[in-house]
Amino acid sequence: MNKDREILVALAGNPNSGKTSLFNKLVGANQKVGNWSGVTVEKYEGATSHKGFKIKVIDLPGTYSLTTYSPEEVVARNFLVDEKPDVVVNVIDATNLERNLYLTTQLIDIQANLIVALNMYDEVEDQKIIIDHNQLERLFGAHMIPTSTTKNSGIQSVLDHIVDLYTGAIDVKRNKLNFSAHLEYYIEKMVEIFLTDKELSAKYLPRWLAIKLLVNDKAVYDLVRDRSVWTNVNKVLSEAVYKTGNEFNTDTELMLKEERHAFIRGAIKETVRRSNNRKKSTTDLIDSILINRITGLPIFALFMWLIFQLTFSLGEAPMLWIESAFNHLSIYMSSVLPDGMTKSIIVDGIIAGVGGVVVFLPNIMILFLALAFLEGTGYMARAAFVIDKVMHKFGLHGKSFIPMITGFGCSVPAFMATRTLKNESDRITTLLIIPFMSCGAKFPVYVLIAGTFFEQSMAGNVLFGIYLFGVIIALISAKLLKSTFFKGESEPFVMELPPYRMPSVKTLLFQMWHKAAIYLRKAGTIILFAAVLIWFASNFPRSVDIEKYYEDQRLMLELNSEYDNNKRNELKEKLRVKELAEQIEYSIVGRLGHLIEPLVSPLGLDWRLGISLVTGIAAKEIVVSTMGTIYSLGDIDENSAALRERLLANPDYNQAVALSFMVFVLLYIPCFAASIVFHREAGKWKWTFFYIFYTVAVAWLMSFIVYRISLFLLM
Amino acid sequence: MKTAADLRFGERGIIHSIDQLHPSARRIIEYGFTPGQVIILAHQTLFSDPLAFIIRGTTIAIRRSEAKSILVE
Ligand SMILES: Nc1nc2c(ncn2[C@@H]2O[C@H](COP(=O)(O)OP(=O)(O)OP(=O)(O)O)[C@@H](O)[C@H]2O)c(=O)[nH]1
Ligand SMILES: [Mg+2]
Repeated sequence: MNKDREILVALAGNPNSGKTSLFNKLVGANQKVGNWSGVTVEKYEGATSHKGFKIKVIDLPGTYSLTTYSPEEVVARNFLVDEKPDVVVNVIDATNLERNLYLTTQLIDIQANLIVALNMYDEVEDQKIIIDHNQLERLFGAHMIPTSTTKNSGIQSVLDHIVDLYTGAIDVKRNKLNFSAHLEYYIEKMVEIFLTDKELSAKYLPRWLAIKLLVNDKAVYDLVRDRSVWTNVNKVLSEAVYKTGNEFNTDTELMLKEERHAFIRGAIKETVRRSNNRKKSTTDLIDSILINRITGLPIFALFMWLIFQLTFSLGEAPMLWIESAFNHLSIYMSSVLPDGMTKSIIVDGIIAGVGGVVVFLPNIMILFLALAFLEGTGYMARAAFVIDKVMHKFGLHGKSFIPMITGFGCSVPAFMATRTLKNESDRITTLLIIPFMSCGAKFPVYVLIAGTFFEQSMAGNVLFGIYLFGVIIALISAKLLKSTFFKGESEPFVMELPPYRMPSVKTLLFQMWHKAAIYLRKAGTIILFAAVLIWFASNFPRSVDIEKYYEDQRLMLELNSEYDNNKRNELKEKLRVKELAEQIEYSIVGRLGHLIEPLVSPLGLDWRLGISLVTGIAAKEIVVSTMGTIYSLGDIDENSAALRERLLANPDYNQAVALSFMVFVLLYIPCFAASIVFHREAGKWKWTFFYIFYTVAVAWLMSFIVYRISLFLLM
Repeated sequence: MKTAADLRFGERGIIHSIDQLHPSARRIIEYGFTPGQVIILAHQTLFSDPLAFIIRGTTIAIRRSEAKSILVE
């Protein structure tokens, strides 16, 4: 396709104005749509074609203005200023023009080819607000198009306008926003000077540079201060600052901002009619209960408890189905495959390994569905509001809560969710404590161990205790980190509580499926690979001596006429298990386990548990499957009941060991995939090393303490 | 002078000025807390911190320490 038939379009707008929704309507690609302010931190691309043009659309992160206060703003602004998209579609929540138009005034400053989508027009009509968009269009000099992504209206018109604007069939007036004579005087003067720098003024609009200098914009200051024109510009700027302080008793930044707000207020007075009897909105009503002073916190706790309950109780039945399906599969496969290596790899390696992972799919899906629902409705922001004080006590931000709770599902999205935290120290602290929020993959370990070593009635409490322990360690760590590494500054808590909206079922299911797919992909790749690898490592090398010894034993058994057939088979089985155990000990896995045994024996763990921890670094799901492999290699009806019996049969294991092991699994380094994401999010090797060291050190120390205390109490 | 943190639940006030020396002043202004603006204390948590104000048609939550930098009349 011809290059100049491709139109680059950027969607810009406040958080929650519906950019992503419009993006999806325009390009037909479905992706994350959330109600949490600032969900989209990266830029998303998509493409569509219209009237023979290829339209490439970029969904920019939501921002309230084009300063460079937060990473989102930097991303949005750099794209708009540096890439200069052909057309900018400013998506606006039309029920709240006063706030949304602030960004519009800044888009006018950069002289963007502007189209304004008056989005959520369905709500405008519901609330009987009347907007004179023709007049608004005249005032702002940009095309205003009513749209509703939920009602699917105005989308075609947006596409038409994009093409027409690009081809020149229609025009933008490019009004400039006029400030007071006082400010304009200095802006003009600076513009004149900037124009003498051909290179700079070709790249950046002189007027924009001048305005940005007046609002103390650090990034623009860095752009211009090395230019030769700077001395002259600086002279004008200093005068402006001085005169503004002297004559108006304020500063240029505040003055500019106020004039923007005043312009918008004027425009709205002229163009918007609201019906007078404005009732309390539904959002206010809901909020009067959900974030009520008295009921807010209990309701919050209830929601969190509900998520847990739903995840684990609703997930139980489908879990059993999946489990039995894999059992049938493994029985079937072992009946059709000839005995030998291939059969062992497939049944004990692959089916057992992958099956152990897929079993948790229902839990993962329910958890993410619940989180997506809370996020989509807008409750997540309230949760941050309600819990901020508590979080703040530990040096955290209310927003840290969301990544932390997501960490209960999986550390990968949790690490990514820390991007909503603008402040570096808040973000790194939150990143570092997320591993202590027990992720879904660790759950099977607890189920197996707690279910084996504790009575049915106790197991649930142990499970809850483990989760709680993780949270406590996380909070203490936060406090510790905040009072050592990250002393001082914390991000201000300034956050919009967006109106409640019912997320569409499609969006929710999409998000759930998206997360489930990531999980399944992990099962199909890393875990499959690791399962095969572990199978090999626990089967090789083989000792010929051991093999021979047991061969002789078996032969002697056959020849021994004292036993009847039953007794003989029983003894044969005993020999087989003993041989397996000895062979594993001889294998790579066994050797590695013995190598690290001195490190884990103070925690009451033997080499088998030690090796499970090592393989668990690849993924926590592998911990259980490793134990399965070590304990019941070659066993065709491998299931957790069999594994439980084997574990109980080991005289070295007891409740203290069980607790110690679970605590270690809870606290030590998350899976390999998560660690990669951590590194990407933290951005510095320094933090990645610290993260590995810190999680392992804390895990070791806590396991040690828990083991010693419970030895003392339980034994 | 009274600050936004002194407003009673449901009470409205008009912003007189923002303490320019407060570290979050710029951020607060960015969210629309400017002189002359009407604000209503709409929600508060059990700990009376943070506080949520209705301003320019949206609900914005800020911490008590930040609300103290907003002078109202
Ligand atoms: N009633 C109504 N709701 C809408 C409309 N467009 C979007 N929404 C809802 O508004 C919420 C926010 O939409 P998003 O598309 O995620 O907004 P965004 O601008 O991408 O938000 P950020 O990425 O957080 O900046 C979602 O709950 C949408 O379902 C609309 O035209 N009408
Ligand atoms: Mg978005």
